[in-house]
This record gives sequence, structure tokens and C-alpha cells, in this order.
Amino acid sequence: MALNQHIWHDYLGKKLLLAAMSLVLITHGIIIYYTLPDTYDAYVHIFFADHYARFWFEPWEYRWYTGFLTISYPPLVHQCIALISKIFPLKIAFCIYSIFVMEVFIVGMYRVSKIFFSKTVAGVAAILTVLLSSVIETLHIFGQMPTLTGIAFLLNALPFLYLYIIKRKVIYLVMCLAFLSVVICSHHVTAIFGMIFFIAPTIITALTDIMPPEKRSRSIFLFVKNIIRQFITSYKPILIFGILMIVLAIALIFPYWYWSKTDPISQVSIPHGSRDNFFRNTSSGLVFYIIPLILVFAFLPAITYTIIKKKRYLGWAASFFMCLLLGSGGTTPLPKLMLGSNAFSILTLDRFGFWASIIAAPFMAHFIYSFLTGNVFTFCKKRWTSSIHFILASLTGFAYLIFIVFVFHLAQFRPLQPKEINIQPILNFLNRDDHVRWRYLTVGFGDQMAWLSANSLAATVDGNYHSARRLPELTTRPVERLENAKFSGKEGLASLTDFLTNSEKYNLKYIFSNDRYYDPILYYSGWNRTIRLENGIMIWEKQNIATIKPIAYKSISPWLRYAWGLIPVASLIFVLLLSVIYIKRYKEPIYYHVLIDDFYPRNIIYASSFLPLILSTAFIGYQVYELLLVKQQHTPEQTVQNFYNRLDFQEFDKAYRFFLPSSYYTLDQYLLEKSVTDGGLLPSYSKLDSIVTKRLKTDRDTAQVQAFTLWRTSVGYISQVDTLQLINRNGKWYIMPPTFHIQIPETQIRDYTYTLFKKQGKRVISSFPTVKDDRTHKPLINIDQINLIKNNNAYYIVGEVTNTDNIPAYVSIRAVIEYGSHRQQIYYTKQCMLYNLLPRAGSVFKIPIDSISSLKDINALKIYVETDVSEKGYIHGGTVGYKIKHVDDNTILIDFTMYNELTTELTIPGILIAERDTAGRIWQVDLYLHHRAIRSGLETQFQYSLHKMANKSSMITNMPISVIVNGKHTKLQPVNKESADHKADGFSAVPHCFIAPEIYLQ
Amino acid sequence: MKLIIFIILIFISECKPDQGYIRMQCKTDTLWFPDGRIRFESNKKDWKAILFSPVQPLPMNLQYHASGFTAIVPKNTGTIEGLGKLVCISGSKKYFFNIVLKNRVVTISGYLYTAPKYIQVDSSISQQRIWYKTDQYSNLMLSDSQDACFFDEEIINTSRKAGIYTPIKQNPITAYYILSGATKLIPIQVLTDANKKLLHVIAGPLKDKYGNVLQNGTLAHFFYTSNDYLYRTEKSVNNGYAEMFVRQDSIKNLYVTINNVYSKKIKLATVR
Repeated sequence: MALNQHIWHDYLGKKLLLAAMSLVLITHGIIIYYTLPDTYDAYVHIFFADHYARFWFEPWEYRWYTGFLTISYPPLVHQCIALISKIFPLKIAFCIYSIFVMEVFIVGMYRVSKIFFSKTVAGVAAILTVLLSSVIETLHIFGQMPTLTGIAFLLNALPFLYLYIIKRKVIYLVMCLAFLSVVICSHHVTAIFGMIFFIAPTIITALTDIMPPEKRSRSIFLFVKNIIRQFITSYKPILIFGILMIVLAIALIFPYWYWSKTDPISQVSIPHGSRDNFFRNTSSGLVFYIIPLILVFAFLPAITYTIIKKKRYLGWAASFFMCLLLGSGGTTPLPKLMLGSNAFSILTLDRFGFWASIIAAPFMAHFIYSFLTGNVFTFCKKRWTSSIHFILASLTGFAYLIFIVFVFHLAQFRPLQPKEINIQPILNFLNRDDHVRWRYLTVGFGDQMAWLSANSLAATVDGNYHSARRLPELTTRPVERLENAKFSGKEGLASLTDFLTNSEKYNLKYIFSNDRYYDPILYYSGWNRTIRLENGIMIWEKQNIATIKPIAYKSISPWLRYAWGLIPVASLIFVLLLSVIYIKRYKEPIYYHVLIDDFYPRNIIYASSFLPLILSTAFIGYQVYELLLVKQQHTPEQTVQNFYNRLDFQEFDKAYRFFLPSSYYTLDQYLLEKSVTDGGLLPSYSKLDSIVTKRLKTDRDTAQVQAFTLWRTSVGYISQVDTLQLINRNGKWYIMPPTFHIQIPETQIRDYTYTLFKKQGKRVISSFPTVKDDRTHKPLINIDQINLIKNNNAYYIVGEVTNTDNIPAYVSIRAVIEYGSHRQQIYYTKQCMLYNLLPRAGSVFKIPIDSISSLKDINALKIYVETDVSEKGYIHGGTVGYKIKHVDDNTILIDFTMYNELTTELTIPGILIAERDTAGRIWQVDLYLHHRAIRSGLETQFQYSLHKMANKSSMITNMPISVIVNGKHTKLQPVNKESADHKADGFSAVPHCFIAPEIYLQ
Repeated sequence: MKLIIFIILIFISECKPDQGYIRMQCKTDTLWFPDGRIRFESNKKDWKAILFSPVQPLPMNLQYHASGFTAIVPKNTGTIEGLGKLVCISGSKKYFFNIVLKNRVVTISGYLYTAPKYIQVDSSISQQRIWYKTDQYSNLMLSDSQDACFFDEEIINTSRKAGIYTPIKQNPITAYYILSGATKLIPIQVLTDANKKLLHVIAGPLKDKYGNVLQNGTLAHFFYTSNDYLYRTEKSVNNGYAEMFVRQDSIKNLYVTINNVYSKKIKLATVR
């Protein structure tokens, strides 16, 4: 190539690079602050940054999971954000850092592209990278700042590695290792896989370039053989680099390796969309494969042609196709076979797709450059006219930009996170009255839970960094976070239930709820609503929870702590200083053995010229079609399924459109009927899990469809079968409005006398602990009976308590089983109990015990009862009526009726049922929840089948049970046979209803 | 060379800061709060004075004069009386003076501890009371009794009349609470309206054995049978009564229970 051509490319390339860097500022720079709250991971990294801002040299972070070590994640990104946060607020600091990294990334792409092509093409690659959907997604949707930092500095390291192998100057080795140090300190996964997918191809390219031209055989086998020979002859620089790289990788983040070795991750894998079969789960395929790689697929013919055209790209071709394959997740079994099932279930595979797009970027840029000014342009001009070429280029650019705008706003179109929550009221709550002395839990916050943690010193049992989890309740289940347990199905709710019932174990006292879905499980697990904050967050509280006790935290050597605090930042400072020195003293014009020829075969030109336009337009078209044009009422089944989907998302106006249009059945009428019939557990606190439809009858214009729906609530699954009549009008199927059976209360205005209690709290206004003479006493409780029951191999404890005091009591009960050698197991009451009791009120209770191997192993069984004054929750429902419909040896079939005489609806009518024998002893306790609410003044009937335990289980009477009430040993009295509850036929039933309206803050 | 070393030594010795001197000039070592002052003789003007009282350090105000300075207790402060240390600091030098701290102006407050504060009349009604006095800065004062001790104690039997008792007027913190006991008898009556459609069931007056009305909010269960169903309604006691309205459709066997105490059973079928 002539020198003047080099100079021209140099000049143009640098201009394009500057344009790309400016484009970063006006695109990513402007929008990042607004996309940040909706990203998956940004808040997690901000939380880590906050940790370093507060405790730079202390790796123990107590605020998540009852404590974990931050050496479990390379710290550089977080430490940089922490440093910037000393001047700017945390969110701004994150944005500033991300813009800095994007600029480094663009420079890296420019520099690495120069290994392949001219500097002008490298400039085009830099501009392309700014608008690459995979980069936009990684930054604005996933918020994966360490991944971006890792790849940004890795790309900058590669040209130095290439030059070192070619020229063998020490400065290149030093520069390369300096940049790689930053990669290691930023993202260990990039460093590990970067060795395979980026460093190895760079070495192969360099070896090819130093190989005599005659040895660059056209035969692949000969070429590989020659490369190996070349490697053997030039092994020294590669060996030196390899050894130093390994030393750096170990030394720079040694505390991380130390942690990995001493505290290995052993937890159930958490499902991730990137591991799905993308044909089965198309939404995962869209987010993790199609959107980030759309341009790669569009240019795939051109990329493939160029990357396999020259032997020096062979390593890159292997890396590219390998990454593309691994990024396809579970679509084929190959990624799992290649990675092994363990790595496959730990890694998020979308990063491979991301790396594929990075490798492909220079090759895409090469084709784009050729399309705009090179051979492809000449071909197009000859084949058609320059006007058509211009129109094609404009349309392609326009379609892709619209696609990019869509990607920027993907989180708005497909919300990944709940709406932004103003956390200030929560912070105010945590800061007052020593609330930080207990742990809290958020539900329905999404990743904003990390933002709350970053702004408070209060601790939560939850967390958002899975690798650091060590609590068995979390590691034994495939649950991402407790706060979004509803998305993890049965396992998620089981995990959440564990924490809600074992809350005392974790000093968990407050729950900030942003999702009423969890209200039933919270209420029935003994949590009480306290206040609704001005940001709409409801605070639930559990009483009798001890404050957090100091625990022995995991400490590491002070040397490791200082190394962790100093070396990563030092590596970044070192690389920045070294870059300045390099530019001033060592930089020289370097011209690589680049591909000048931009010839593409005709088929490749056709495919890669039109595919970007076709794919971008098709994608946008598909989105528009899905949004506006999809036929939702094409078949009766489709109509029913879409109708239920609308109901599930509470889009009642859209659900109404599925009903046959009629002047008699207006939207107003539909909503009115719905409002009086549709409250309760099923309509208000459930998510549609699955739906199956079956066509019962059909003719030309009418159909009858049965819908089998399975609904997921926080207290279990509910299945329902509905039969819907449909009618065909003008090619669309409509649902016939259901016949409305109205229940009309007799009274027009209801009255009900409530007695409310108010605990005055601290009457002496002081931030010191409550003085002794201003404390309220603990309500007196009588333990009426406690029985240990064995059913097959399962054990449980049932019993009965009565509030004998004149004030309402909150009662918490736990069973402690003591084994030999000071080992003990603690079990708590779950949902089968009334936790809040009015004066002289009582409740039955049940404590499930999951594992007793042998009763002989038990040294003692102790029941601890704690009481506190209760202000809320002691109204349990309306009048319960029951009659036995059928009874045999095994079951009692009971007809229940419940009448709501209160002035508010019974949102979830519930009945606490206890099976008793003739002596009044309790054999089992169960909670039945009715699915529909009961409005004020109305009555409802339902059936319940009680499976008798007395006949098939045994009561362990030879096991002494100690009872300790408020720290005092209490003697059990004989069971009162005359109790009213014992007079029904073998069971007793009391109301246990959840009342949602906050007028009473039940 | 020797001359240079000599000059350096001279220079170093000249560079050593002047240590100065300090001497307390008070006749007594008692410091009175507030506004107490201690005079010191000193040749320096860069003093800081901190008083370490038994509970907290207190920075003193300083007033310099020709022969030294006076350390003055900040205005409107009091202290826990007893031994204190006054630390005078000049540069890196610290001087400690033992001081006896006293409050000059005191307001005496009386306190009463009663245990238990909540007494249910069904259980023991004896109550322990402890009195003591403090000044406004929480220094314990000797009691007025002949024994001249800091605490006076007595054990009394309280009244069995339920209510809130405040032994020291205008001092709600000293209040103790006599709570009504359990009911032993549940009187029950049933009234009907003019059309005999609705039954008004009244349980009450509900009192404990000492005549105290049951606590408002006490839970009463109304049981009755109708059309083969056994119904259970929960009502809370209000001013000694629990009441319920029920439709008179084949109502039978109506009774009320409170904490395992039963009313008489009324066979309403015969009322109709």
C-alpha cells in the first residue's frame, strides 16, 4: 500500500474515531441516567460501589444475606464508582464511569480493528460499536458494567500483544499486561474466557504475520501445521506473556481466588433466560440472542466470507462461531456438552453472544465501508444506479436506527423492573426509632432493593448477588431473590415462606411491600400491617423479634484486605500513566498486514446489502404487528386465552373488548359487576400460571369453550374451570357476557361496633431506650394444651392458647428440639394460627416438624411462647356456621357458611379448623381459604373435607414437653372437656379472614 | 566541623518550643455548676481546657488575663456530681487537675417505681413501691425519711377497683393499672322487635367477682343453631355488654361463652 494511502486512512480513521467518541457522549451519555433504574444489574454494582465508598478496606458486607465477603467479585469497577461518588451522587458516579468505559471501549475497538483492516474501516467499526445493539443492551438493559470494562480494556490490550509477538519490544509486553491487569481486576470471567476467545486468536494472527508468505498455505491442515511450527520457533515471547499473565491473574485478585477456594459456591443453579431453548421460549431468544445479534445475523454472509478468507483470521473465525454457538443457550445440546453441565448452569450465556458481536464488529465495518465507498458500492452502482444504492443505504440506516431506538427503550416496552420507587420515606422509617437494629425485607422492588441497600446502613436478609449467598434457605432452592419470589414458582414461595416464618432466626422485623400479591402469605404468617408510607409502600411488621446480635464475621488477613483495596485501583492508575508515557515516548506509526482488498462475491453482496434492511424492518414490523395487528380473536380458544391474559394483567378495559359488543353490556356495567363479585384471593392476589382450553361444542357461529386455569397465589396454587360461550361476528369470536347473579344485602347502611386499642408507645420523648417505668407489660397467656402427633414418619405439634389478659395480645410460638451435644432445631408456627388475640380470645396452632429421625435422640422438647401487646389484626371475620354433611372413619365433609356482618369486605374468607377427640384433645389444625371475597352484609357457602388424623396417627404422650411463657416455666393444665369448641362433632372452626381495606389496618 | 555541629545544636535547642508553666490559683478544688470558674497562672496564651465529668467531657470557656487565664464552666450546664478532671492543653502538653464537681442550683424531682404496674384483680394485689429523688441533673438526693437513705420502699395492697391510679399527680409515668378479672357469670337476655323478626341478644352486665365491668374489647362468642347449622359469632364486650342481632329463623340453643365461662342455654324455639 502506498504511504500516502496510509496517511489518508490514518487521517480519516482518527476523524471517525473522534466522531464515534462524540457519538458516545450524545447517545449513551444523555440516556444512561434514564435507563439506569430499569437495568438488571446497575443497582447491584452501585451497591458494591457504596460498600467501597463506606468501607474501603473492609471486605465484610453485613447488609445482605446476614453478611458476605465482597472479595467474591473483582472490585475495580466498584472502587472506581466509589471514588467518583466522593464527589458526585452514586447514580451520577455510575453514569460518569460508564461513559468513561464506553470511550475506552470505542478506542479499543478502533485499535483492535486496525489489526484486521485499514484505519478508516477501524473508524467505521468504532462508530458501529456505539450503535451496536449488543453493546446498547449490555449497558442500558443489563447494566453489566464489569463486562463492558473487561472487554473495553481487553480490546486495548490485544494490539500490544500482537505487536509484542511481531516486534518483541518489552514496552508492548508491559502495555499489554497493564491493560490486562485492569481486565483481571474488573471482570474475572472476561479475563478467563478472553484468553480463549480473544488472546489466542490474536496470537494466531501474529504468528501468521511473522510466518513467511509461502508457508501461509491454502490448505487448512498445512496451515495449522505451519502455525504450530511457528509457535515452536517463536515460543519465547508467548511463553513469557503466558507466564506473566497467569501470575498477574492470580496475584492481582488473589483474595478472590482465596475466597473461591476456602468458601466454594455450592448452591442450586438459578434458571436464566440465556440458557433456555430459544425456540421454545421465544421471548428469551429475542432478548438474549436476536436483539443483540441482529446485525451479526444480517451481515453473517459478509462476516463469514471475510473471516475465513484469510488464514490470519482463522483463530478469530473459530472464536466467532464458537461464541455464536455458546450464545444460543439451550437451543441445541452443544453448548452444554462443550461447557459441561456445571459451567452451563452457572454461566449466563448471553455474554458469549455479546463477545461474538464484538469479534464480528470489524468485519461488519469492513463490509459497511465497502458498501458505502468501496467495491460493493461500485458493484451496486453498476448493477443498479447510485440513486437506488442511496435509497437502499438510507432505508437500511433508518430501519436500523429505529430498531436501535427500540432497544434503547426496550425496558419501557417490556418492563423488566417495577416502577421507580422513591426510597426516601423508607430511609426515613429505617432511620427513626432504631429500626436499623432489625433486618428488613423488600418484596416487589426488583433490583431497586439494591438501590435501597446502597442508601441505608440497615441490613436485609435478601440480596442481589447470588454467588455470595450462603443461607441454606436460599442456596437449596433455585430462587434468584426473595423479593421476586412469585416469579420463581413453588420454590420461590417456599423460600420466602421459610424466611417469613423463621423471621426470628434472622432478626427479620420489617417488610416493605410494593406488591399486594404477597399480602396473603404475610398476613397468614403472622405479619401485621403498620403504616403505608407516602410512596405507597406498605410496611409489615412482626412482633417479638430480637434485635440483630453481633456475629463473628469472616475475616481475612489484613495484607489481603490492603491488597484488595489498593492493587486494582493502582492497576488502573498505572495503565493510564503508562498510556501517557507510551504515547509521548514510544508510539510510532504502525501499519499492520491488513486486508486492503474489499472484494465480495455477488451473492454475498446481495445478501449482506439487503439482509440488514430486511431483518431490521421485519423486527420492527413484528413488534408493531404484535402490538397492534395480531388477531386475538381468530379462534374461540385464542379468544379465551387472550381474554384470561388480559384479566391476569388487570387490563379490564382490554378484557372487556372480548365480550360481544352490546348496548346492554357496557364497559361500565362490566366493571360494576366485576367490582361486586370479583374480589378475593383468586381475582386480586393471583397470577395466571397456565391455561388450557378445550372446545366442548362448536358450530359455524357459536362455540362453547372450557378454560382450565391454574393460578399461582402466595399461599398456594388454585385451579379453576370455567365454561364460556362464544359467538362469531364478522370473523371474530366474542365471549358472551356471563349471567350475573346479584346478591343484595338487606341493609342499606351498616353499623358495627369495633373496639380498637392503641398502644401509646414511648411516652417519654427520648432517643434512648424506653425507661423501665414506661414499658407496657407483656400480655398473660394460658397454654391450654400441647400435643406431639406422629403421622407416618412426619411429626407436628398442635395446641391451643388463650389470651387471659385484658389487652389484645400478639402471640409467637416456637418449638425447640434439643438433641445431644448441644444441637438443637427450632420450628415455628406457620399459617395455622391466629397470631393476634383479643382479650380472652384463644387460638389453636400447629408447628410442623420436618425431620425427627428418632424420638430417642431427643433430649428435650421445649415450647417457647412470647407475647406482646397487639394493636392490629384481632378482628378475624364474620359469623361462621357449619353442619356436618357426611362423616365416616376417615373424613368429615362439612358445609360451611360465612356471613359478613362487618362494615368492610372479608377479602379472603378463611377458617381455622381443628380436629378434636371426645376428650377435647387436638389432633390436627388446618387453614382453609375461600377464593372469593364476601362483601359487607352478604353470605357465602362452601364445603370442606376434613381428613381425620385421630384414626391414623398417634399422639406421643411419653415425651415431656416444657412450656416457657415470656421466659417463665409454666405447667400445663388438663384439657378442659367442657370448652365450647369441643362440643361440635370432632372439630372446631373459627374465622380467620384477611381484610384488605386499610380502614382498620387489620 | 565542630563549629558547624555546635551551631546546629544551638539551633535545635533554640527551636524547641517553650514549655511554659501553669499553676492553679484557687483556694478550693470544688467547681460549681453553672458558671463556676478556676483561675490559672501561666505565661502562655494558647490553652485549651476540657473538663472530664463522670459522664462526659465538657469544653470550658477561657478568659485570658495578664498573669494567666480563667477556665469558666459554660452557661446553663449541670453535671453528675463527684470527682472530675480538668485537663489543660497547650500544644502537646497536657496538665491534669483533680476537681470536685457540684451543682449550685437544683430542682428536686420525686420518682416512684411500682411493681407490678398491671394488676389483675383475680391475682395478687400486693404491690411494691420505691421512691427516690433526684436533682435536675439526675443526682440522687437523700430522702426525707429518718433513715436518710436514697430509696424508700414499701409493699402495699392495692384496691380491687379497676381503673388507672396516678400516685404522683401530673405525672402519668407513675400511673399503675388495676385490671378487671374474669367473668364468673354471663347473664343473657333476648329481646324481639315488634314484628318478632329479629332477635336482640344481650349478654351482660358482664362483671368480675369484684364488680368490675369487663374490659372493653373482651371477646364473647355467641353460639346458636339454625337449620341444622351451628353458628358462631364473635363480638367484643363494650361497657359491660356484648350484644348481637340475629334473624329469628328457627333459632335454637343460644348461649354465650367468654373464656370457657358459659351462659345459660336459651331454647329459642319455645320463645317463638
